[in-house]
Amino acid sequence: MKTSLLLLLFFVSAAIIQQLSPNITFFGNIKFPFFSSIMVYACFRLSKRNAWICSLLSAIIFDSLEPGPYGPALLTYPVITFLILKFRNNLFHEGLVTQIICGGMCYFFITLTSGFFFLITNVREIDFFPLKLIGSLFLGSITLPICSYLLSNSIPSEERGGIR
Amino acid sequence: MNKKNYRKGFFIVIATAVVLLGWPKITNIGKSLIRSVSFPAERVGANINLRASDAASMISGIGSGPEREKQLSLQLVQAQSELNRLRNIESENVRLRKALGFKKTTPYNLIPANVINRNISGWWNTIRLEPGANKKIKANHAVLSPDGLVGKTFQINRYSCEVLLLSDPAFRVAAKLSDYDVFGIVKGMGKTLTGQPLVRMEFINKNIKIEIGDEVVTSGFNHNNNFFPSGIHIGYIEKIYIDDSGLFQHAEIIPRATGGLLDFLFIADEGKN
Repeated sequence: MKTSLLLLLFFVSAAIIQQLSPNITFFGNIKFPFFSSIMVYACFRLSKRNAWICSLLSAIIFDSLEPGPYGPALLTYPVITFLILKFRNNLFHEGLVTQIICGGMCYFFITLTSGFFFLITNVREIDFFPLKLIGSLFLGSITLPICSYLLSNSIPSEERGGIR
Repeated sequence: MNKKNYRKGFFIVIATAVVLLGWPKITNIGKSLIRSVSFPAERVGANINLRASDAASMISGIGSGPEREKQLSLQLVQAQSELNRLRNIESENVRLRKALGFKKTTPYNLIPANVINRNISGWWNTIRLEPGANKKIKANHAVLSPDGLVGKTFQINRYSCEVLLLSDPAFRVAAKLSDYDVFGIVKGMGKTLTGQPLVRMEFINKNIKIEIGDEVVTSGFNHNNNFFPSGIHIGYIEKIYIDDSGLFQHAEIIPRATGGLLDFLFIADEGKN
């Protein structure tokens, strides 16, 4: 219960900070992915059941705050969760290199899928797409280690029987 | 959770996503619910941001009173809209004298609004304003700042509304040149890599000579319950091109108004002053 409330607080704070933060114009107007970084870190730490609940709820919150239709987060977050849960036992998620690579890849995947989603559904025109992809790789690799550092003492590790 | 249940959960999530994608009513209800719930937290965040900005500007020696600024902004917008209206009336009067006709122009109300947030992903050029359906805000109404047109309202929630900014590629508004009757459609073109908003006026008659520096304003032609009063400043023409088809000209515009987090904005409403 305490972990759930803490996670909710982190997600709400991340959503507000991400919305208030300015766009990074030279990366095609994308933002630092605080929200998705928390989701990724929670998936590394929580039990499978809680990770799925966290992933689905955070995707619904994220897409609800977006002006477009439900889709970009609701499609990508479950895939990211699935991959993390499949491979997390083989990864040192507390390691800086793992966090840099995973953060970059996750945000890259989110941006890529969002771009294709907007293209297929014709919801909006896409500008600076290659730049956005490069930027997402870079910003994701910066944000996940920062979020991990800040949250490491707040989210208990449930993935191996509660060993921290 | 065993492997079978794990897969089952995954497919349920995907199926839910597909259902939500194809059902706009559920989308709207879901978005409205989440935004209404998150509204108090967003307002607290916006207030903290505003106070921090005020403190920073006081420290740097540029003390500002937000309330006073709000009042002055309102007065300035009202004065500018009145000036634009009078300009329109003047030019219209000349035409009407010739035609011996009569047309009544409709004044409009301005509802003050606070910017509480930007878009979360950066894909959209949108901001969120504080009054929503509780203050009878309607979709597709013009949003102004003292500098001119900022965007239009859409997705109205109980306590807040989304504003599609002028620079967003999904934005369209009927426009004309302020000095003479040259009409066209103003369309958002995104932002440059330096963050400058790009706006273009399209479908301008190619036989009419337009010049760099001409002022572009809203024409007042509305459709689908849009409410864009005529004469709202949009920007000035920067470059002029002939369309690829050779049938029209289009012009790049430098918009003056921006929808920043610290701006005081106003939503145009049909009600009379």
